[in-house]
Amino acid sequence: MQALSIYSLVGLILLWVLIPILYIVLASLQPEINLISIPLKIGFDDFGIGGYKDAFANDRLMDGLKNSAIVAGLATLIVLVVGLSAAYPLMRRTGRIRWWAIGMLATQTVPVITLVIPVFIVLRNLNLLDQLGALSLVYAAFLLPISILILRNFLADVPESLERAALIDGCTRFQAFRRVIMPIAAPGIAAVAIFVFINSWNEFLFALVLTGSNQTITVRLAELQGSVFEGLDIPALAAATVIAVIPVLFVVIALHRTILSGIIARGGTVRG
Amino acid sequence: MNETGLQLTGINKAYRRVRVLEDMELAVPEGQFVVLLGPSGCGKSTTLNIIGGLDSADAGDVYLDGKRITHLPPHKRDMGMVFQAYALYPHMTVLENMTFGMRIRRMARAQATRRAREIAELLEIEPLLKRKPAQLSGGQQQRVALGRALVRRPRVLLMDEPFSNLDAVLRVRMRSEIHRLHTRFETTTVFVTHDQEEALSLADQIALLSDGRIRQIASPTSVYDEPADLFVAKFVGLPQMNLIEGQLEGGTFRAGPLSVPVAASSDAPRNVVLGARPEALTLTDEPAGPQTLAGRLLVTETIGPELRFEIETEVGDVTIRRAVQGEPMSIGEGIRVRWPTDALHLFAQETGMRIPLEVGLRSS
Repeated sequence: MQALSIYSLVGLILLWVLIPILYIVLASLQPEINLISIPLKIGFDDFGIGGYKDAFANDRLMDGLKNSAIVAGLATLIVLVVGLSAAYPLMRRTGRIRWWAIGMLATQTVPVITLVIPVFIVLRNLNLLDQLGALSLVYAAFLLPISILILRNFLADVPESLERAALIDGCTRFQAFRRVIMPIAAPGIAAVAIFVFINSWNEFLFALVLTGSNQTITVRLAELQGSVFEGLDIPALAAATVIAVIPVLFVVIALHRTILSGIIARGGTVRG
Repeated sequence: MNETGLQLTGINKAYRRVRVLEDMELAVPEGQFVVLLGPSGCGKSTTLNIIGGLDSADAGDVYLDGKRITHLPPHKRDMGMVFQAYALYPHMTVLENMTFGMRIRRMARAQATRRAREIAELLEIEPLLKRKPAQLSGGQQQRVALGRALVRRPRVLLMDEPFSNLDAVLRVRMRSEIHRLHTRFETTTVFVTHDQEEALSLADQIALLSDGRIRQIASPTSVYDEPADLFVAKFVGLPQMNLIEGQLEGGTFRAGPLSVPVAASSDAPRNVVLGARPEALTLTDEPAGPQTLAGRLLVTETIGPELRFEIETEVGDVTIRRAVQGEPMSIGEGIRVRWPTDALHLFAQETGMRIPLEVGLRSS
């Protein structure tokens, strides 16, 4: 009985979250005329993939997709490499007051919007405007503090005795990290990767300000929307939105397996 | 330093201001099984970590076969270690756990696997080779941990309370298993425990530690029969040795109504502690004499074939242990305890050190 009410609650919340997505998916498959008629008409009998044809035909949108993949991928890579390097020495630091943690959290209290203009000026002076690498560096910089904290906690969960066993078995410190600590902390590392990738993929403000020609998909989508007076192609816009979500979905599904398998592999023995 | 085996010289270690090890000297001859025995916090695990290179000493040196290895990182020391919580790699199968150390040292996979299978057969864990540690029972994990440490054929084997997470039955079984393996491989071994039974049954030599200092290094029989000081006398032996404070007057120990002749040298101090193991004391029907002590029975315990009495006397409570026989006695009954003239131990009250007794009056 209790389970039933919990499931209905979960169902309601899911519905709440999924309806807009469902609407976009359905809209992307409708002929445009259905979407601008009053009352709104969504029929299952006249599904079509015209919207997707239009979206895929839009070279600028496809460019944005590619650029987003580069920027988000690069940002994820930077965060993982720098973040793990930073989290490792913090792993066994367990003082009562963790100043390093407080310091890193403090950076998160600064409203990001106040940093847009300073970052713009810095990148302009360095001649790094309109460069994908620079944009991914900016994303990495913003996402690193919180990522380091999360990574550190996942690494610290790996019992010290396992590291010791690896050292005795003949590993150097790096090998012990690479072959024993990292695989065991993989679920956490995957979670951070997802977090960084999604945030970088969906980021709009900095992408708009810092890139001119090399724009990411969020910016392209906005452009597409901005062309409303020149005749808006709603199915194409909806299709583009769906297309923009799919890569993120793939990343989540791919890394989700790691998270699950890690939890199963742990099975209780890890916390010795 | 040209001997083979393991030596520690002048090891000092402190964490912040707390002294953990003080001028520790220890020699483990090639092929010997040495047990570090002591209460928790006595520095025995720290000693083990210093030997393995997982911790560094503030002062002092570690030698292996005469070579100074004090500053070598653990991966260059060629030691194996069994940890209290097993510390098996949860993301690897049993086979991978066992071959990991050899693979990291670039041994060919086929050879590493063959060796692992040999050891697995010996430890009867062969059917488990494809499983992950999470799918094993505690006893099985313990065997795998042992196999992982042995399979590389390390120069020195370190064991840090390896049985403390096992139940009593398994513990005794693993003990004889370790004994068998040591007889077979004769690997120089340092074994840490707080369990005296483990120490007495496994060790060639026992090193008793307390407060970061070694109190005695000797064979299990010597530790039991000739404890070097009061700490060792109290720590080893179950039930504890009976200890009574008193005075030494012209070759006789006196405490209240009790007087026992002891063959101490003439320069022994006046204030001493007399010790007798519970099995050295006997109950007697003889009338009160100088070597008997009248008392009242407080507790009796029957542990299998063994009977334990706790008796309240004028000079303190006394424990006696003997085989079950005769009529059962009732609590509160007045009885007399007879003190022997041999199998006695004498310690100085002031220093706690053992006072040697002349041969003939000493036990076995």
